Amino acid sequence: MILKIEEINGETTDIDLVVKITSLKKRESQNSTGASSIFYYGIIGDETGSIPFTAWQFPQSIREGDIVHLSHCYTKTFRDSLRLYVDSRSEVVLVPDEDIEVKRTYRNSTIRDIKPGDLFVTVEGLIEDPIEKTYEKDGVSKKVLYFTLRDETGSIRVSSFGKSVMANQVVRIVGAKVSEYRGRKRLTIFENTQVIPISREIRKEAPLYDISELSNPIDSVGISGLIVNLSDKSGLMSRCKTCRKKVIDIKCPEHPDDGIFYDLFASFVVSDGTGEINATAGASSLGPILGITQENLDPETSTLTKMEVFTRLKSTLTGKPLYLVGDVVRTDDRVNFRAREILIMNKEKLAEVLKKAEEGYEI
Amino acid sequence: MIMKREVAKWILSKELRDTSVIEEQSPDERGRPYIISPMGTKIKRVLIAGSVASKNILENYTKITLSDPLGTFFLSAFATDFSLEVKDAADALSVGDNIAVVGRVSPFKTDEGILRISIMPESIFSAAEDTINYWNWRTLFITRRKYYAIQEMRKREKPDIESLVKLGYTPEEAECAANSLKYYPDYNLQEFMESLSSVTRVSHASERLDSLRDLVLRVIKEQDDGKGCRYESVVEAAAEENFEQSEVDEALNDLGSSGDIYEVSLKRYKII
Repeated sequence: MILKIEEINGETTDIDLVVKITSLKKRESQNSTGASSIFYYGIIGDETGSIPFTAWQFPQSIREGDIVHLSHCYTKTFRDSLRLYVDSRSEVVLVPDEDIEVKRTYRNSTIRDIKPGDLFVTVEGLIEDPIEKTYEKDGVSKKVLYFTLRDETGSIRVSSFGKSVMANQVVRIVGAKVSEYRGRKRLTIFENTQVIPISREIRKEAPLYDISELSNPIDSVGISGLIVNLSDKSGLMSRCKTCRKKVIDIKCPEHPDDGIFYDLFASFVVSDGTGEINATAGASSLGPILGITQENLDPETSTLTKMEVFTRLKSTLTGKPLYLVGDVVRTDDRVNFRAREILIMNKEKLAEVLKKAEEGYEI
Repeated sequence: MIMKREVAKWILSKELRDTSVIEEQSPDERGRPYIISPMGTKIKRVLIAGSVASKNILENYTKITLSDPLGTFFLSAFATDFSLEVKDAADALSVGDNIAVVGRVSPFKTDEGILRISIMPESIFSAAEDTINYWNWRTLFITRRKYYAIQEMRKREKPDIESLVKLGYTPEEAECAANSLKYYPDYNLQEFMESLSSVTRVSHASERLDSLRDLVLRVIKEQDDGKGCRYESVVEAAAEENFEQSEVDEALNDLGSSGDIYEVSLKRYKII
């Protein structure tokens, strides 16, 4: 029986659909023995909705916009979102001279609940730090606007092609495209995306999470915890002034004449009792807490040693209740925390953090 | 193959002390087995915090007892090639020091068949008073959530992890509840919770005293006319914040003992 997309209910097998290929991409993957294979992925839709798909085998003649009859397919949850799979048992048959008006479905979501598997979402938030850049496409100069969208659950980076926004404006974005880039979730706004100013108060404050709640990428969130492990790679490091890569020797092998600068780095594991997360921090968050300024990091004048900085890191950060603000990033199927701000909690901050624990008693 | 680091559980000493179950391992499983606590927590590694109650340096290891709000943990820091730094850190501790410890649990059965659990420290950190407060409160919070999850699970005919997750518990809390039901169906949860309540009451009292100390210091500083601040002024200001005179007396004694204030003349105080 041919199903409509809205009739697909959870993980199921042997599905037949007639759909329009609304996007189609090809990717090469390698298995553990190094053998490579090609698979296809994209979005299919019909009058009732859309769903992402992955095809391990797919006719090369099929293009975006084609109508196809898919049979013997199955659905499975991938990264918290339902996806249709086409494999060697499935059949893909082109349906010529037909068209389908695909219904775009935009789920209302908070920034936290945007899943990498979502196609398009409707989301509300406060616009922060818009920056306009230009780029060339087919010899024509075009503009793109980058900004951060914040709500009570966190923030996300947004790229806007063709829609302008203003800083500190609260907007509802209808039909923003969801993607994941370098382990971070992103939204993209195109010409047909609606951006509607709305009246809503959104506080510019990082929401506090338990570590166990952080399973997906999200920016600008707070966690508390104790360090259970500080990597001995933490401390002072040298970087090339030109490529900013870590320099093991005193010169960058690629830019030996360009000089180096000192940088601060820490890699550690934070525990809050609900879980543990690997975290990293750089000079902007470590400098203030260690009392190390940019001037102290000039190799010409600096008297800092690696041992001294590591010892200072250890005595400053370990055994203290910390409050960290930063971004949750996915790396190799697990999430890491990139700290942008680290505070040793004073009594007031401690009370604020523990208040959440009190509230958590009530389920 | 990269071994996944075992998550350090935050548990109170009573939860560890009441533990009597070692999880059975299949023959092909490697490493030490988990112990399972009455709150259902599967434990190999812990993060604990408290005050050093005793220390005994022996030839090959150092024994430490560490007090938390509900009792004591027993720590054994051995002098092996991999843990000399930790043994040195344990040797350097003094009774009364506040520390946080990450360590592996080491269960053993006595001749009477009773399970005893000591902790082999992997890291010992000096802990500030705020760290101890933070650990106490977080651990109480986590333990209470597990308690509520167990109560909910006990209402069911058989363990149903999914239904608890739907109610808002984390998968780990729901799994703990299922473990508790399976391994400790008759554990006296009520008594356990009463112990937790006593900790909460003590902590509230301590917070109240801290806030009174801050108030007294502020009043003495602001109302010192050169001859010192009058006792009556402190009592009046404290009364406005609903503190009893006896509490003010206690705070003045504490602040005097800690060297923050001194009595310049009868019933007149100055900040040091």
